[in-house]
Amino acid sequence: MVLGSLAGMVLAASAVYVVKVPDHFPPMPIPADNAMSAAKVELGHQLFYDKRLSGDNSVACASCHKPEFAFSDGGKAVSTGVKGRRGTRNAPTLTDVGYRSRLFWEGGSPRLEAQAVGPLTNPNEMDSDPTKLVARLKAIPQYRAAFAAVFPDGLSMLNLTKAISAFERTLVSSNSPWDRYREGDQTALSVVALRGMKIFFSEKGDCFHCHQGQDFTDDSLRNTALTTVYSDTGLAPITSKDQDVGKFKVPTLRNVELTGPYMHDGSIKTLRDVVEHYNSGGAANLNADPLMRPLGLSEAEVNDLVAFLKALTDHSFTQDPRFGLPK
Amino acid sequence: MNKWRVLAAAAVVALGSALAVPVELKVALVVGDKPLVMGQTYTNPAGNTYEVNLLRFYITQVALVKRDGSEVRADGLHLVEFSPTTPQELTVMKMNVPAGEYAGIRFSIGVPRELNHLDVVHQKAPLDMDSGMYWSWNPGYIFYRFEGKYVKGTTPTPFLMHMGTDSLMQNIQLADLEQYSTSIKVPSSGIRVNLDVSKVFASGLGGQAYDLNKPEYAQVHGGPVSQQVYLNLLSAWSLAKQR
Repeated sequence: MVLGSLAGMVLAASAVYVVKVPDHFPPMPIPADNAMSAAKVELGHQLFYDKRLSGDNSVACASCHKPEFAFSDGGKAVSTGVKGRRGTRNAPTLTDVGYRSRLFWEGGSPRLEAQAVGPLTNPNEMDSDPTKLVARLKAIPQYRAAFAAVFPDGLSMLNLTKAISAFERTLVSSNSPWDRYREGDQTALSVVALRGMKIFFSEKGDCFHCHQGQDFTDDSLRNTALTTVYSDTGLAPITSKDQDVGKFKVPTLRNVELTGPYMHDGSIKTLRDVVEHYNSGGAANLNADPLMRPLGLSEAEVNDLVAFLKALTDHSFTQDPRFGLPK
Repeated sequence: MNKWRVLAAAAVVALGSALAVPVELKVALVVGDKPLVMGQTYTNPAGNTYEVNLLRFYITQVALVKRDGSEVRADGLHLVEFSPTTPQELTVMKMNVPAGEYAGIRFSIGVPRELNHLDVVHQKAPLDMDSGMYWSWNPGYIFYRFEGKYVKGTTPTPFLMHMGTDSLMQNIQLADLEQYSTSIKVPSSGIRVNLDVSKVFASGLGGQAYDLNKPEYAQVHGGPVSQQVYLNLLSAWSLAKQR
């Protein structure tokens, strides 16, 4: 059933594909070595939802990146991979992921193609061996044909990651109440959300120094004083620097209402508790970002902020048939 | 340039190439003093019964070492794979070196730092994504990938040990410049090196046994256990009897 539309893909192989973004977004960056085409995006779409990409045919990318939760894992602190194995980090949203300059919570992967190898081969996630995975997919005639139509050198691990990345670059969310407000609809945000917006962009609330730009992230790595001792040390294993212990990526806030629980380990359950964490200044930590300090927000201000964060939810994104289960 | 100097340079090149002879570097897998048989069971110091199904590693910075410590280097980075369908001894590379007697050989297991962090999408084999050695969630490549099964209770259960990251690139020196216990003569039917794969299990962390029944030893993807394996494997390599 999943492969029904692959046959039609062959005809569209050469069609140019432009990722449509609104005026207040920069153009989607497309790497020169992985040009977009309709057929490549559709192939990536099929692959994204195909459990046969995992070692025991039980887990797809979409198993933990669910469209209804803005491609996060719907309330789970950490995800469950093959054979019930659990990971250690919260599955991040893929909202506007094509704009991200660093991937994984510690920011260690520079691009989607390279990142995709991680969950595909991680024993706690999809647990596939690249050589065996390519051999398995080559035994499926529809995939053989679809890859041959899109890539001159056919099916390989590299081309698999290129197709999935092409699909991921189409995952643009730009129709939240906040976006409509930006485009001139003065009624798009509630009075409460408007108050929250002012706090968000004020020095008092001070959310905007890190959560900036069209996706509300500066893509930096910071220690947010979540705890005093980090069992997952974040950036440090990559740089071997003590001061990088506990540094994780500033996530996008788009669709944040749908992507809980929060933080790299999913340890904070609700959006309100996250705001309270920042309001408190966090735990004692030598590596804490200088911006971490008690904010002194009142109960009402916290409520306003949460209302603004909920105005970043884009239900047309989560329900977009172009991104859902392929026909 | 004066034409005599050109001719002299040409003569040196001609002389050099006349003396250089092709020689192969061969690696054989062993367990103790016996050739490894993939699929056959062995017992490690923790008492685990295990078999080996895959060994894949990068070898580079190969050089023959002369008695005076100077080196004849061979270029290249090679990915070597042993599996149940390969012989237990493989030619891992071919080089051209001047004939003579050498004190031994040195080489590194891993990917040099300057190659370990490039954009994988643009890399050719053996550093391509399809090598099965690209490590997405640790920076760079897996240097040494060792996999098999052990008997857990009565059930054959997979184990694996993946070691990588810049600080765990291994420099193996099989040239004794003090006591002259090693020697390699060229020409030769092949420079033979043994790798005792069982040394992976020599010791666990802090003097513990490397017990595959413990999850931290059954599934190793970098981290502290791979640092211990780095130490364990330093003594895994030896010059074989040169034939």
